[in-house]
Amino acid sequence: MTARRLAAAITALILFLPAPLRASELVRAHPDLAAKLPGIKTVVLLPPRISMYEIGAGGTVEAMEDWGTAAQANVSRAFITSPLSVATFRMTEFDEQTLSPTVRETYDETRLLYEVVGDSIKLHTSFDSGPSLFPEKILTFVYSLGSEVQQLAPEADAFLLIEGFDQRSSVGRKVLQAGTTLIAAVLGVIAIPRGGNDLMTVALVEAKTGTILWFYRTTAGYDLRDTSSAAQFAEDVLKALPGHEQQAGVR
Amino acid sequence: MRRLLVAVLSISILIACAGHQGDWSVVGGPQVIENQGIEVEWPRGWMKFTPANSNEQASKEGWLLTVTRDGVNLQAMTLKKRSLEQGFTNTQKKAAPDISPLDLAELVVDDLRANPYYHDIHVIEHSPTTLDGDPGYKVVIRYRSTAGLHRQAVHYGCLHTGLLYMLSYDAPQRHYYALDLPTFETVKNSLKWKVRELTSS
Amino acid sequence: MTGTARTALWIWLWFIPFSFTGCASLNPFGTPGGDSLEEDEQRLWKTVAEEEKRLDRSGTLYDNPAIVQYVNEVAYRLIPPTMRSGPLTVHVKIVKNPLLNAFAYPNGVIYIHTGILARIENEAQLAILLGHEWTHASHRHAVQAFRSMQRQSAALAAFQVISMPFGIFGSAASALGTVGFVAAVTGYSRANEREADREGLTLAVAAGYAPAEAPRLFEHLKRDLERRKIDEPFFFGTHPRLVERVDSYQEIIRERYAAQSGEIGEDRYRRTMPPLFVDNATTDLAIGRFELAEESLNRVIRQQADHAQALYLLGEVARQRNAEGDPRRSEERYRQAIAANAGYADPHKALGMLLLKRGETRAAETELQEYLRLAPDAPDRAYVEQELRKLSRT
Repeated sequence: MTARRLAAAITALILFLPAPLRASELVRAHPDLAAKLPGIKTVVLLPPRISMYEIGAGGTVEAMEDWGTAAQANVSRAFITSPLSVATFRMTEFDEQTLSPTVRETYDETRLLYEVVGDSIKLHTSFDSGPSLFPEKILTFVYSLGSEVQQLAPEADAFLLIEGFDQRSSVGRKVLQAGTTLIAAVLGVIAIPRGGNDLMTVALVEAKTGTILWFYRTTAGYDLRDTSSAAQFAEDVLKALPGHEQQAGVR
Repeated sequence: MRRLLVAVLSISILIACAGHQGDWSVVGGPQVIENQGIEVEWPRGWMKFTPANSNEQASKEGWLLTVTRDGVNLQAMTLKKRSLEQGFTNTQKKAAPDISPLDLAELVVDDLRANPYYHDIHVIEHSPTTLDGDPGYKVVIRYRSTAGLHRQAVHYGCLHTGLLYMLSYDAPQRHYYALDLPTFETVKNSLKWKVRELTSS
Repeated sequence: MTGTARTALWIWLWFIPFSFTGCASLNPFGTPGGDSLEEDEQRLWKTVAEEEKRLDRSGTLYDNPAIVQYVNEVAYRLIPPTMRSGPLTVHVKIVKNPLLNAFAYPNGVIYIHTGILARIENEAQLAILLGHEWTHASHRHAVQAFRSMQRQSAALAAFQVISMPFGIFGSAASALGTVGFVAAVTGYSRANEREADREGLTLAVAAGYAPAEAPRLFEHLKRDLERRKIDEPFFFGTHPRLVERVDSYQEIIRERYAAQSGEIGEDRYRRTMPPLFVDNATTDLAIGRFELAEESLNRVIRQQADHAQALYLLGEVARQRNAEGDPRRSEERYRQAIAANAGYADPHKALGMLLLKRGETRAAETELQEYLRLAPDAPDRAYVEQELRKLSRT
């Protein structure tokens, strides 16, 4: 085997590593997070929005609603029952099925606004954004969803919003890509297998003001259809939240 | 959550576009926009996107720059300048050189109404104004984005030395619009023509 | 072939079977064994439900209850009773968009643009178009297209387009989901489209409509495009596809319905649709498509000569187009609008401004004052007050 072929084979091996080993994280906090966290006792978890897709052998991306539904249920359960959240907050689930028309409108607007706010955070406060990075927003991370969010749950001190997507390769695609990579190795060229992308974001939002106190983004490739992976995701998120240990100690 | 994927992809496209078709830079203080005959004082610390000369869409629209603090979807102050022959982005109608500010404002509203990404447009205000002494228009609209988010925008504009100058501010109605509207009005009041000076000197 | 290349080919051939999915034949809904959904089809329907939710939420739906109900009644009449209780939903939604377009989701929900409804001449033509779209759903053309695409990765690029350079309103295509994009923009295979022509016309004829209206509809749309010398982005807005439809329907009529007559329903259509004609003309006017706006508004006037809004908008068409004779025409139309409804504010302002430009200041003042009296909260009040102040100084 020539050095070229060896390099190609090693590259292929690295690219087939599980996604978590290639993960990147983004954590941003509002300047007042530390001061505000002790006052946050009741957190209302808005229904997670997680889309799952399967990438077929030919590259087609197909929405897998069943997977998404399972992932959403697993993530909700994981956050509500996580020992870290139980020790830190009173976390309750928001029921989006039984809303009055006014609250429904506020809720829909909140989710829509969060989409554009989340996009801005991802685009302008991440070091991998290149020329789109806004240095000032990293120094002063101030974003809001508006004080209207309190109308969703008057008892809430904060809301937790979880959104994301995950594209998973089908068995056929994995097999085909493995084949392509092996062929490339045999021919001595480097073939980059194109797997799916994934991205999950979590935001802790102060209920009174709508201020985004804390924002977390990960591309760790959790398989949220699986309950243990969802539990791991919840644990990783809650561990990343500053001061959660002290919070747990307070209660 | 297909919308999220589309949004992420759109943002990726935007990043790609921004990377190749313009530059971001920090702004603050009075700024004479080179070769455009205009001076505007942008809010300090905000970010400015200047489309590259090679950006064909920007050239077509006469898009000079956009200034934002948190991101263009959260507040965008945009300055455009174009000749009347260039026409508008969405409406096929053209403005005559002697068009009145009222008729010009109606064309601007038509251009917005002909934009498929603007839904449920309501004109809240449609009034005369001046931009550094030149008679112009002010149009305030409320609309919904394709995703359904309620947004609000103010459009100022006038004809100056035969060219159409347009300064707008666009933000989600909730929280953001009111937050930076006074800042935008300050920006609008800071606008000064330089062409007059250049012409007279 | 070198040894290395042979090895590579061998590996490739070994992997190929894993990359292709099977393609079982699909019976249309309503036929024996045809009402169950296969796994990929179930997923497709769930995707479609999301796309629909997004479209419905986007504020693009036209919501005039009488017109929505009428269009749905025509669809309901078309669908055989045996199909109404099946898995497909008989539901037509109208989209505010002036371009020529109609498409069906695989679950039976049909979306139709105001632009095509404003060009359709009668109920039979509407029924034929709805029949064509319904057949795409009943004969499962979407899932067939998806399976075919899964086998042709080359087709994928066209399938996953996020934005398209279609300009005015055509870019609305990019707001459609993947399934809607295929249904509305690219269309299905030629065989599927012909099947939709044939089976859709069968439904329309069975419901009592005149088959001869089928080629007339598409010939009318084709002439419309030819006159405007521009293709639109959607399936029914492209000249070659319209030519195909005309040819296909003419052939079907020759073969099966040469002597068949039927109901045309021109009166019902013209009686029900004027509000949509006016609304669509307003958008055409904003875009600057004066001729189209004028045609739609004239249809309204032919139906109701004293339709104040249509008369006012015809005045606006003339004023904005400003061709020879238009100033006179616009004044005439504004005055007709005021005569039809003196309490309608807009023509007073338009007439006032027109008179002002002509130097008839006193008459202009009267009209502008009347405008402000009728519309005290008008968003352009400041403009009108400014003009009145100028007039009071003269």
